[in-house]
Amino acid sequence: MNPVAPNFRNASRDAVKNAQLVAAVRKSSDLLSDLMARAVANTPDFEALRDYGRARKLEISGDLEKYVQSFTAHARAAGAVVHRAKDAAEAARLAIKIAADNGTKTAVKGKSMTAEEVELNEALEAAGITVTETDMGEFIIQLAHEKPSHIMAPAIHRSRAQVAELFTDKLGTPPDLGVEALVAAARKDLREKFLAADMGITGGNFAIADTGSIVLVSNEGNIRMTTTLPRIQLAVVGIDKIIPEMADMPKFLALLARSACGQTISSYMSIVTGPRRAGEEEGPEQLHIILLDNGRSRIAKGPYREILHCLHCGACLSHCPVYRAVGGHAYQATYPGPMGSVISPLISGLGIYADLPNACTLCGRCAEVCPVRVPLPDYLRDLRSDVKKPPFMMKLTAFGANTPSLYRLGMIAMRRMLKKGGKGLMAPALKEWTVCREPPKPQEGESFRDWWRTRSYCK
Amino acid sequence: MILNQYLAKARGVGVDIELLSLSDLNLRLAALVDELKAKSVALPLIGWPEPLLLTVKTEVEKCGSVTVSPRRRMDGGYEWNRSALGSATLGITFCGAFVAETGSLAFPSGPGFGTLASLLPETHLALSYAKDCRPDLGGYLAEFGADIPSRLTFVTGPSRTGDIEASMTTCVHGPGRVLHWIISA
Amino acid sequence: MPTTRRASLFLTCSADALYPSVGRVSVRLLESYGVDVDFPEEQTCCGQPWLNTGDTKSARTMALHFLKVFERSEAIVAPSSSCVDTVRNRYLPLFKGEPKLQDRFRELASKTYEICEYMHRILDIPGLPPHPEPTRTTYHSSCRTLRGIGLRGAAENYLKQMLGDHFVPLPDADTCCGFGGSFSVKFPEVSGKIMEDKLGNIVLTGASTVAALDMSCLTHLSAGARRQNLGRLRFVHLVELMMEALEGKTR
Repeated sequence: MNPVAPNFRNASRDAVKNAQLVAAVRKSSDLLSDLMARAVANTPDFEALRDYGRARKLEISGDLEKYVQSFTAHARAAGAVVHRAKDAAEAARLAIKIAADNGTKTAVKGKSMTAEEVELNEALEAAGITVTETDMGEFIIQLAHEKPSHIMAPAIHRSRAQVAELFTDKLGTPPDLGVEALVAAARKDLREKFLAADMGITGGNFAIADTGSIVLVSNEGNIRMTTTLPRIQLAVVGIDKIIPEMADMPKFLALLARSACGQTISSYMSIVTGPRRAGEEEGPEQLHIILLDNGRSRIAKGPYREILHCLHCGACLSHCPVYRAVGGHAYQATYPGPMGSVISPLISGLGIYADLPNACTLCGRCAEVCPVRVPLPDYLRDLRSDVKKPPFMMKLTAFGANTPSLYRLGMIAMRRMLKKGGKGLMAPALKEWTVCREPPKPQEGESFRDWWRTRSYCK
Repeated sequence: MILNQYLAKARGVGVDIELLSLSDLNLRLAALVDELKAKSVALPLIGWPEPLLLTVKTEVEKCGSVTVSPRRRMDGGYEWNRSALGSATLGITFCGAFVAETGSLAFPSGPGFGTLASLLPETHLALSYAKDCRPDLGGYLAEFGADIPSRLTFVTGPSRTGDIEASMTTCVHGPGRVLHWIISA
Repeated sequence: MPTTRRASLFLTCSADALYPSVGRVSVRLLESYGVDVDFPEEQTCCGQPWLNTGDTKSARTMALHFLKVFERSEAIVAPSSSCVDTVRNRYLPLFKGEPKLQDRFRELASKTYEICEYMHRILDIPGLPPHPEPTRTTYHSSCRTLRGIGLRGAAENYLKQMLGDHFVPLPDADTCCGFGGSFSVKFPEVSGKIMEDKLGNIVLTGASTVAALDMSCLTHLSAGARRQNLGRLRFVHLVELMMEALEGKTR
């Protein structure tokens, strides 16, 4: 994991100073938010769809193991090899074994946050397998040796000019190419790799319990290539992606596509049910599915169960004022933004990600846009009380605030100190406040309580 | 009614749709092959209505193009010649179901169905009959019951990405141009 | 003849410590509409700072104190959306498994209002007179106003009535100002960055006055404005403009 303990304060302080980063994140987030708003406005029954999504997900997360079993049985019946990984390390071990057993040397990969979660690329590369990211955004950040900064648009933090420079450096393209030429260069580079790869690695947007199918959406076509061309296919899928029936899928897809980038459906959708069948000229000879738990079964039984309902659409990121100000890398976690600030500490422990539940203004925008109504602000608030025992000062002030006479004295004292510019006793408390602001300025004149007493007396 | 819905949806995502009668097909095909200067055309041989396939294959070859199709092996199965497929500039496939709700073309897999023809070339032409329009995704999926093909692919417009500064660009890995010719009864 | 309405003022700690005029104006405004206002002096803070920093134990104690002080009131009115949101939506989950207490908190929640909301929804005041000296004014609709208590459009309508064309809507109005309580001091650089954007939008409107229903956002924004040499901006609770309009004079 991270060699240095994640520290949101330090990372975010640097991020807000990076004007290019802030501008790039803002531009893309604005666009994605607008696209979603337009798509939602054009969907009259969207609120009913959200209700359906939440209700159905509650059924699933309430009986997760049942659906895992059902999916496993149906996928096996369709000819897939289903593995179950209890944690990230086991998933990585399984993937290496599958690659080694089949003598694979090169892999092409579609964008998968679950693969990021298990650090699959690092594991496979260490085992001598070359993995090429084929999603445009992932391709860019792989060339730059970076991590995704957005779960849906991984290279959202980079400007066109930066990508052009990177391509010149790594692929030898002419300098300062436009977006279309950059995309054409990537197409050319990747096409050969698609045709040559032994293994195709994907995540899964949905796993259908009653058919054992994996559903994958993409706009670029790289997922179709990855699931059709190589002889071995590996799908790494979180068990939270399972939905009961094929009949549920169009509704969840409608929620996902609209919320992710304002579409009715993505350019491509592949429903993969087992490997290539007898006589078929396409598709892998083997389909391996690693079902990743990594804390999900535990989370399903706890108070934050609904975070497993997340469709990974990224709407909460693009709408979050904090995410928009700092981008995804400042979170130093696989999953950034509001959903990430909930799921990351739940998976990896509050000890590592104690900052993240606090990295939120509780503005409520994420809950407003979440397609399956995950109560993200409530969860972030509740997680704060799980982090650690309240500091002594909070307890002391709580006692004061609960004792009317002390509370009144406290208010008077605060007024007086702030009138003197907040120096002296208040200075330490104001240290952080005044990083970007002047001390609060109390109004002149008598306090409300004095005014009320005089008035009541005169009446 | 649902055809109109399909037209609006699919055109909205950039599918180039033409409604034509069977008698216009030869002329239009010749014009397209000429326009693209397509030396080689990917053309699956299975999953088509036989007369339509013959018309297409004959016309394309008459224009001087080579057709690339999945080969039938001794054991009865099919295989692609991948390098030949990779050099095709146009892929022509039959689309037996398209969905009004989402503006999507549906391509189930099967021996010889050759769905790669709709993916690898830079231009993809799908041919359908107007009667094959389905109202919605859920209804179409239900037609399969428990018998789902190994790969069921939906294509909705050209290949695109918004990964660089969220600006939409087409022709990433799949076709940059998707044509859908709907043949009236 | 309807009986006189009675309401207890919940002052909130920010008005208690920093903005006495917001409390005074709230009382006078309600009285001018015939409401009999009282001020329970034992009141303290709603507990929001403890709740939002994860000290739920202290927050519970404060919720219980609030209940004791205000339970018998006919209505509780506060000049702050975020405090009202706390009382209305945040107390109940603190008492899971205590149905009797929850019933009492539910009752409390049902009669606690933000003052502009109380005027709009309960007193049903359709309009306000024109402001005597209107200046270009914009409105910061705080997150808790919009998404906490669900008050949309009421404040803007009152502003339009009072100020006419002098009221200018704020671009990106439903975006947070970056305050976020403890967030403002835990991550001041990010809080400051979000605030800068909000102040930038305020400057774009050309307004000299910024009104809101949350003094906490305004404390943050006005302190930030002073840092950015925007000290000329006047930050006011909406009730202050309402009182000026009703009295026909600027204070």
